[in-house]
Amino acid sequence: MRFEYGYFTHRGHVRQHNEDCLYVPNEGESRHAGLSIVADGMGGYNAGDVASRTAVQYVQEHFDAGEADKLSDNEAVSAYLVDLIEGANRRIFEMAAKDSGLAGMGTTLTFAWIHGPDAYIAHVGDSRCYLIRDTHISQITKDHSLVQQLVDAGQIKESDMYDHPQKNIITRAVGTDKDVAPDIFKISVKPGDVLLLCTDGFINHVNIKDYASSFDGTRSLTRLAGDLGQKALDGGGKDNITLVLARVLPDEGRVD
Amino acid sequence: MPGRVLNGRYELIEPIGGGGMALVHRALDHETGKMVAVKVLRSDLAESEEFVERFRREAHASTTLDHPNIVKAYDVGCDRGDHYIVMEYVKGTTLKRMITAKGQLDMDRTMKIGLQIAHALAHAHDSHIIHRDIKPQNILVEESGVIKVADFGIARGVASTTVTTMAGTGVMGSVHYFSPEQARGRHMDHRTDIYALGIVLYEMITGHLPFEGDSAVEVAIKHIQEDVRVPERYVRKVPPALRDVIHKATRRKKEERYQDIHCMIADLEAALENPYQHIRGKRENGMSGTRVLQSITPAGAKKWENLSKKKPSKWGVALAIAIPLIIVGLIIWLLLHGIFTNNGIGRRTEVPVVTGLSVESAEALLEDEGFTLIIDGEEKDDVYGEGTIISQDPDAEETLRRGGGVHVIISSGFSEVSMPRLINLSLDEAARALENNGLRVGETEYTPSAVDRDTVIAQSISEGTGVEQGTKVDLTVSQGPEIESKSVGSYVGNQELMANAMINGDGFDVGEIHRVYSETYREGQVIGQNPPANDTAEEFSEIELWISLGPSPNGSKILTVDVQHYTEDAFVSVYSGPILIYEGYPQVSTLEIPVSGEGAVTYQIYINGEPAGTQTITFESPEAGQ
Repeated sequence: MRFEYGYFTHRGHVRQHNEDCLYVPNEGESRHAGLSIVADGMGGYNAGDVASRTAVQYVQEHFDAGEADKLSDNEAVSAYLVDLIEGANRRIFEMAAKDSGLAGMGTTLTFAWIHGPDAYIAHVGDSRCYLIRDTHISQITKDHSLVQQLVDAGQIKESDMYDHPQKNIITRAVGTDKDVAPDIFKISVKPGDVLLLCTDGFINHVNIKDYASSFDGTRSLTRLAGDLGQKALDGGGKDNITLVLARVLPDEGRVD
Repeated sequence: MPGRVLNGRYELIEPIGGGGMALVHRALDHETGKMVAVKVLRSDLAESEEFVERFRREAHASTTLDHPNIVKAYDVGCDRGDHYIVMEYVKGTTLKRMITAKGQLDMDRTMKIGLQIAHALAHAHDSHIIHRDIKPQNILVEESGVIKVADFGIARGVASTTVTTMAGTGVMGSVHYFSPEQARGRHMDHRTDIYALGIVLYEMITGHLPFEGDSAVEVAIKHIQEDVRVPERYVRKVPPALRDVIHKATRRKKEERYQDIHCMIADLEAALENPYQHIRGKRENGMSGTRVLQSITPAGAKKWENLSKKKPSKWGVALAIAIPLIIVGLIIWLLLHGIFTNNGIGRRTEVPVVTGLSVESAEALLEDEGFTLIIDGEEKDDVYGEGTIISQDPDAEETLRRGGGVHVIISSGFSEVSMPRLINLSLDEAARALENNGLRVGETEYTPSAVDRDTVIAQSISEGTGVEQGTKVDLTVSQGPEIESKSVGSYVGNQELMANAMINGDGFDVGEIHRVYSETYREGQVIGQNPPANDTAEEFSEIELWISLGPSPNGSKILTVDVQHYTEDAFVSVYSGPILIYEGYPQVSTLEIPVSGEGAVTYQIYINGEPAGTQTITFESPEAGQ
């Protein structure tokens, strides 16, 4: 399978550090084809970056080993992805326990693995994954956040989520507790589909549904990622901004 | 071969290309930390003195030359019988792949690329070196668009009189660019390169080669026998000036070509400036348009002499079978020619190309061929200016009875078009929009502006104005916002891709990348940067990075840091120059860090951000350790 990627990250206008982390495969790096990751770390001085990088690296390392490719059925893949996030959780939790400078660190972790006609999305925290098909945008993940719970309980309207004073409180994270409960989603994808993974620094400034028509396939994802990231910066850039775009390309056989 | 380190310095990473005689690898120069390209002579050829000599000649030619449009050679060497040349690593594609991908190039790009190749050749010719194998496969196009001529593989001093042999492979690719003298195995000189460059120009503008055939021999014979036809066979409208340059560069007789690459440069520059005007009065041999065009007439008796004088060569062996056939064909042709001329009736001749010529030149040319010129009318045209023939009937290469009339339409001047809107387009897009309308970019002036670099912010003729085709429009272009100073972020600890994204996000570019061994950080992680975090630097300036290659294959030693006098919360960081060796809260009284290196390496230790002394460890060099 072939993919096109675009990505963007920026520390924003306010923060000194970029505690987000992203991963997409380098060109021609087939071991990780179809894998894309974002993570948004939190913690004291430097600890946030350590948490997000450690999580991303943990997932990447396991894909390096090619473990995922050997799994045949969906349930095995889902169980494996849960194991992966639990493993990343354990690694960060242990690092934080051993090192007082890192105490309390944690991270969101949202990654997608496109494998054949299926895309698996593993998710903890308030980063998001969207599916864009023919300029229709649907949100795949559900935030593990206080405001999302308030919306679910009918306490606030969805449109009020983004201005709520407690919008940055998350209810699940990787590395802050001994245990973690990830969500695993499985969706079907076809050539032309784009997955967008992003951190809340992007979501808070850009309503992606306003840019649906940008995904009509005419623009390269490199350019699109840059333009969308710039929109979030222009919209305020209060937090670190990170996004990854991954498009499923039609199979080879045709020379461009 | 990947992984091998030549003479302890050049680590071969991956093969990136190769011709018949050598394989080119991307490699890491451990001394400078730079990416280089290393060309290694195929080991089976290293047995042959001829190839070693040829390889040495290339090495000599490329180290002699120093020009921005020629791939630089840094070093030449031999390691355990493998001969190699270390060259500049050019990131990009070849001109061949570019032409294949795009089908054909626009006239502006064709001329600009042609000029860069010509400048490279001028430098080589001035140094008495001829390339002998100019072809798009040997022309590299950097990502920035800069052209680099590579592979002086069969280059030779101009003074050398040796006749080329066709030994070696890769001939099939080259033969399409062979001059007649090269195809015949005759003496070549700098005009051989001029011919090949003419063919490359032809291929860029049309997307086709002038001569195709099923075998190398067939193509070579065509180069010997046939004139390069007008590019209009493939592309309807080639600017006349470019057509003139191609025509002149690809004359079969060396004496009729440009006698000097500098003259070709002058004509190419003139063509770039005024593509729609014929190049006149600049021809060195005093050849008028008419005389030049006479050589478009069908094969004559001169060829006969040339072929019969052919000296035997390896090519000759290959041609031996073909030549008798050609001779028989020519005899028949000459007989027919004689018979019909004597009778003076019924003889049909190919109509020459007159499109793009002035009425006077066309008349003279047609008269020579026994035709008459009939002007059917005048029309405005978007390519040819006043007085130039826009179209002809019958078309070129169709046959017509002697005495017949060739009907033509003459341009009454350039047609008018409405000026398009150029503001907010990129300079490239604006140039394309102008070209699509038969208009051209005049002066461009850069000025600081809030909009993106290279965006057009003003045009000298406003949108919607009616103007003649060929009119030049001056553009004011943004050079981007005034350069600001920005704060450098901390990129150390990130994976390379994330660091690149962060650097771009912060408004900088990734600069030089050094890959070094690290016992503490895994492969691909950034372990050093310059300028350091929190410095300020100009926007778009470069950040130099050090990236881990993983643990050293030569083993490690232990660096011991005593932290017992500090509290439990001591934050320790250890650097070797810009490279981070360790960072963390060790929570032990004696910290042991694995380190590796070569020679004496000094480590700077910081505790809680304050300098806490240095330590030096001496490593044995890998050779001595074996």
